[in-house]
Amino acid sequence: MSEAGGIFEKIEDVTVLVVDDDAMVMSIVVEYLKSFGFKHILEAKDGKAAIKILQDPHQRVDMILSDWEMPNVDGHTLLKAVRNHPTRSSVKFLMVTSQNSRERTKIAQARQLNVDAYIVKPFRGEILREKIFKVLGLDKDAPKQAG
Amino acid sequence: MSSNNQQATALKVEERDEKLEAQAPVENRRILVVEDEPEIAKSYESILSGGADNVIPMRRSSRSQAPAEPVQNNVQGFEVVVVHQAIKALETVKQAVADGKPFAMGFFDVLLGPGMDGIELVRQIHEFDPNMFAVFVTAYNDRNVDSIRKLLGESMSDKWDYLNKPFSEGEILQKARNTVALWNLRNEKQAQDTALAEANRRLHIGERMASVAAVARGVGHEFGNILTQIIGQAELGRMGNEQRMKQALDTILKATETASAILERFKDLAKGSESVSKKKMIWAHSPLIEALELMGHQIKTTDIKIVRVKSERVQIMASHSSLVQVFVNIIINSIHAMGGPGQIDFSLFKDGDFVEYHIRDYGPGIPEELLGKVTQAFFTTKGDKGTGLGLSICKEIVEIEHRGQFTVKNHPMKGAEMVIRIPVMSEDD
Repeated sequence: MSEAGGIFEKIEDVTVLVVDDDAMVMSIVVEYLKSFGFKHILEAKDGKAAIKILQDPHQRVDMILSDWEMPNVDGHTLLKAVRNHPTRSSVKFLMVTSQNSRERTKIAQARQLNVDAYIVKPFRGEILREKIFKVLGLDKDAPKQAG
Repeated sequence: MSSNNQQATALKVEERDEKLEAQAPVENRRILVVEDEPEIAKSYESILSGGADNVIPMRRSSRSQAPAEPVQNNVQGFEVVVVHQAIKALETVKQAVADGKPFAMGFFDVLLGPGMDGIELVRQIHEFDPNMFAVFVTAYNDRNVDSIRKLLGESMSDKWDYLNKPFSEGEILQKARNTVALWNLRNEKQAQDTALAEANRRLHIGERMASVAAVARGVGHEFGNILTQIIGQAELGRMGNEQRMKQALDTILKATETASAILERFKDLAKGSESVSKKKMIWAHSPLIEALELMGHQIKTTDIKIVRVKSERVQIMASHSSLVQVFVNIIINSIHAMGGPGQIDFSLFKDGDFVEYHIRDYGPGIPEELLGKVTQAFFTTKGDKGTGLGLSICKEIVEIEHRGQFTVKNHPMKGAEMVIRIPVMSEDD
């Protein structure tokens, strides 16, 4: 079902799943994504809710933008679950971490599981846009709307 | 959760210990001679300085049957300073203390001519150098040992000795050797005690800072979120219309208020780690609530439910930041013990002149044979993750700082339970 892995023609076609336990951060990220031109945005308040969405075979998901430290199922567990999933294993995964003492360990763990990109909080919209466009293989010179 | 930082702290403390050991005191071989007769003063000097060649033959001690033969001083000589007057002696000792080169001992002639005698001189010296040993030397039985003891005081009775004139060379030399050795032994002991106390103090600060570091990780995450929100609102607000911009600014202001509150709490916790803070009347529940807020991120991400069983509104005379430390340490221990999702119950109520806190987790509890040991310093079940001071610090804060009681037990149903009793009013206030 998933279209992930291919090069995307248009941002409007991409379905992105945002996973974050902080409602305020979630709303900011969603607003950024809309300003970049995303039309299909799904929200999950933790890894558990994200897995539930991914288990629906009719739900298209091309990219996951997930926080790392979350209750219930954290970002690391979610990434592992995605990479081991029969149909979702090649979904693009962008991890969001906090800048703290264990950041390097977390990034190393994520790299082992073939994370596509990571971004450290706090970040500017422009950085988020660059990372997303690079992961999706979209034209970097697409019209900028934030940053 | 805090392994890296606790390890780092432990390493730092070890480094400091080595430094402390390296500062072993240098041997003090300085002797003061207070003698108004130049001839005798000179003979002291030659006996003690190690050059026995020019020793003027001394008369035999009246009490000794041993022949008064010159003694070869093979040992490295003493550093001898000779003065002839009491006033000069006072100045010399004062200067020596000021220079950090105190005398280990002095030989004091009792009769020093007009002004003060040797005993009064030593009494005055002990006012600013209580460690200096004194050996009184006199030819007259004008002072018996009891009158000297009375003059110098009970507490100084191990700081002086007595020698009759005429003395033998051997008597002087042996007295000097023994007394100087004793001064150095005591000095070394004192330096070790000081170093040990300092190492202990640093270790305790280190452990308190380790809990601060654990909290800091959560605070860092919260700040990351708040800043993401502030940056996002600013960027997105700038692109929107006037109404969107106004809404963005309102959200930013609210976010900065949250950040300031977190920072205030955190600063308070860190402050409590550095020094014993003052006690004042506080709401008994406020340090507990603050600890739960500080640990909020860890509690949320490990999926732990906090249940308030009972919370009475009582005021106590206590140090707010020290009690926050206690609760943060207990919560960290509980989170570690449960190792995942779980529950922490707390209750708070007044019991006579005490306020009682109960904090219970739903972990595996503490093996019966270890119950008495968990509040001992250096006890840890976390291997190299902990320094094993967490609960001992709690006990210290509760029992020594607040004269309360800290009890660790297992809950009859499941998990460990900490009971803290704090007097409503402390004795010293």
